[in-house]
Amino acid sequence: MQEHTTKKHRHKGGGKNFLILPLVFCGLIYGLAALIFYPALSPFFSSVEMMFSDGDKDFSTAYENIFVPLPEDTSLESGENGSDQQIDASDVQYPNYGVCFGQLTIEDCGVHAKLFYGDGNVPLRNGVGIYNGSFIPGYGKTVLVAGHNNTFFNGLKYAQPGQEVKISTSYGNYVYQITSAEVKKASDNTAFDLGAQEENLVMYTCYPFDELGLTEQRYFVYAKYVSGPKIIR
Amino acid sequence: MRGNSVIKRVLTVVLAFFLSIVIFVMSVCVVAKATVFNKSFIINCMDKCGYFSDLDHEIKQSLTDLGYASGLDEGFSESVFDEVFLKEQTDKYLDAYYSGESTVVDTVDFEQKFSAALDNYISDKNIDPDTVNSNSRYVLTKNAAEIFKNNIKIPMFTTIANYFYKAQFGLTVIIISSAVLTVLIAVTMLLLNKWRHRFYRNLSYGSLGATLAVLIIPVAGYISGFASKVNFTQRSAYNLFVTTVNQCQAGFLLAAAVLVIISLILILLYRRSYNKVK
Repeated sequence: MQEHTTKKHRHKGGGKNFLILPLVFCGLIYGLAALIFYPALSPFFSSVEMMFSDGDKDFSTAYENIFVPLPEDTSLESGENGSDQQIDASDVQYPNYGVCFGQLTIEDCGVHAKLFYGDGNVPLRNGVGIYNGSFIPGYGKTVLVAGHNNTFFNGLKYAQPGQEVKISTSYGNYVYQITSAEVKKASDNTAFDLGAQEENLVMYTCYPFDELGLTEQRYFVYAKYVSGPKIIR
Repeated sequence: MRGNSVIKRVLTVVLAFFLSIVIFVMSVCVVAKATVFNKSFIINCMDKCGYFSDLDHEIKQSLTDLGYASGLDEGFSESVFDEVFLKEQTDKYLDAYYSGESTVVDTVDFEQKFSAALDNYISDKNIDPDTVNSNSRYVLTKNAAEIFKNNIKIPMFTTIANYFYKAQFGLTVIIISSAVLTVLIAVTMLLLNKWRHRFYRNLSYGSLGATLAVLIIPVAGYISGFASKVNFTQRSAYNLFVTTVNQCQAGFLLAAAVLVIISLILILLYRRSYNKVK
């Protein structure tokens, strides 16, 4: 009777071990791996971590549009009344990269294009884009706008001094006047001044117009500020 | 006598632990060798996730954007290449990569195709070829080739190339060494125990430990869902990554299933031998 009980007990213990020991082994394997490899591989893990984001990836090529047109007569008139208007920076929704936030129009050249912040593929596919190293209208700095010469900025070839450029945004309507147009090399870094302390608009596209192939020259159209609310900080 | 027995028991448990490490390492290496280190597996994943269709769309979209800046119609990119050409070029790239010859995408074929498509475009549009600036055309072709190259390249592959080739050779060595070690540990266990049932029991401890360790990999992967959070800018590369990770996880599950079967057989053998002893 005694012998039978002992055997039963041993068997029971063996059953438990089938669960406990493998669990301990598994824990030890990962524990040892962490102890041995983690110090050497932690820089690798950190760089791998940067490859992942918090949410799932969205590959939609649709762009965000925050442009809500103001009434046509809102500060579009040239002259002192329009240029004296001020708007608080906190009332302006600064657009994120790739967001459509306005409309650029040059009636005399037949240019009507959506205005984006950023000049990547999506903005230039759908309109014209402000280089994100420059400023949006109203900050009293340089507004540098790019567009393709075969699509939205094809009309720039008709640009003449004195013509009006209208930029409509949700926070104000701006008017600029073309002062000159010049052909310069794409690599010419004197073509525009991003540090200018007065509001000015520079629009550029590839040159010559309608040429097949990627050109090395750019067509720059310069315009001075005429009216539109100034953003104050 | 009793002290000797305790030492033996501790020794067999330690050996069972080493056995679980060796089986775990071997399983991981076998799964890696059969998945990411296997070109056919990657091609299979590409087919499964519609990689070539996505890639075709992405390259053509980029070429259309390039066309906007180069005086080309939207439809031009459609005439340059098709999915079959993409498959051939990807196959060539993967062949060169997996054989260790090169990590660079060869764009000669693409440049020829692009140039031929440009010639057709010029003739279809009745453009005087003499008016096309040769330098502008050259820059356009090179830019298009750059787009093609960047899209064909699989993200991170070039960065990890050095480690990849070393690991490719190392895996075979590790698998063979692990197999030899497994046999050695099993033989040592057999020699340490005069009772056959204890031998089977200790073997099953080792295989069950390895099973759990292998099983944790896909379970953690599925629970964390990390694959779907990868930051790739191309949809094709993203889908390929997610599919590859899912297939690798399935590989680990399969390895765990095999280990479960082995463990069950060992437990059955243990029970049978134990009953005989009783």
